[in-house]
Amino acid sequence: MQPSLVSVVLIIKSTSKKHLTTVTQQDELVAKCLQGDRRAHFEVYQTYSKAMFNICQRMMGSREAAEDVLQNAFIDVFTKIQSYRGDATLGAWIKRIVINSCLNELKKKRIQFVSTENELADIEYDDYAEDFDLEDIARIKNAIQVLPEGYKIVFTLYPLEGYDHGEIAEILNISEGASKSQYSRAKQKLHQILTQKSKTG
Amino acid sequence: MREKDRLEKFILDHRDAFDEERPSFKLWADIEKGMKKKNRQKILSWQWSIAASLLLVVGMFLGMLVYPRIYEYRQLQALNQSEEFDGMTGYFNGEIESLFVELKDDEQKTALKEELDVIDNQINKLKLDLIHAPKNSKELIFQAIIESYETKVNLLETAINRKKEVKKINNEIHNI
Repeated sequence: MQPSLVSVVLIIKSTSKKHLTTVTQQDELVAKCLQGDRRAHFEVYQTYSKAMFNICQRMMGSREAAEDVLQNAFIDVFTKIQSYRGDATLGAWIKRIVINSCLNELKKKRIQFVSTENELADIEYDDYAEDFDLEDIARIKNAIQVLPEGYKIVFTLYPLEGYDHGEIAEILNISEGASKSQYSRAKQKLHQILTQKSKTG
Repeated sequence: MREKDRLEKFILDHRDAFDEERPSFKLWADIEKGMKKKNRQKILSWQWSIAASLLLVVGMFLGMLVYPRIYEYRQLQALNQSEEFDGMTGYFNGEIESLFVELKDDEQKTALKEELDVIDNQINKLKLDLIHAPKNSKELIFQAIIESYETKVNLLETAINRKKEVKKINNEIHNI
């Protein structure tokens, strides 16, 4: 049965009201954080720490390094909260801080994010022969971890964190073309690792 | 737009399953500790910047007070050492010194010394005026300095003449 015009309007209204409530709640939370409210800080930490920790772990490669970076990133979040303008969601703003903290830490280790050949052509490869299932998640996660550092970062940012190549180019200070080719190579490498492992395993 | 491959589709459909790890429970305590430390550093750096600003203001104030004095001192030195000024003051000071010697232990000497000191103060003020004065007024001030020295010489000469006069009268009285 097709929904009536009235019910469509009601659905739109309720959705926008829900969104508004969320935005207002977020504004209140930010306002409390600005006042140095410890409970508000903890609420922000509770809401975002898990997702942010997983980003850190993927980018840094170990729990210890991920926790170190996440600790400093959250301190930055709370001490720089006055610079949050509200033009992105709080989560997106925190995510950028976390990613930048990871990149800064990796830079200290002189890790190159991108191949020196900046504008590599996209590499075509055959798609995976079979669909993945839930049991493959651990295998995929492990395969991402053994990717070369630059590939791992672009792979983390594109399909997992949902940034587009323009945004990745801005984050990594590289060209959009370099981001695309880096991703293309990361996928090819991952394909190699996963197909090899499935053959041997 | 490029079609997603099987892996990309799978990741998109099971995104949450890739975020299963959690940070350890002590991380929040570490963050709180780190924030306290950062706040302390912030307060400390805030205090340091106030202290530095105060020091800068005091330094500038002192500089504003001291610099003109140093400038004046150097200009005075340059003036005193200038050929024209040195020649003039050298001449007058020589004259004054010999006239002063001529007075010996005269009773007028103390009162005269006070008067000469007053003129010296005036000369010093005129010297400062000479440093700061525009070029077209310098000649006039220079002239006033010469006149002050001349006044000193005149005072001493008058005192010596008076001394001689007194001596002459005393001799006449003595001979009567």
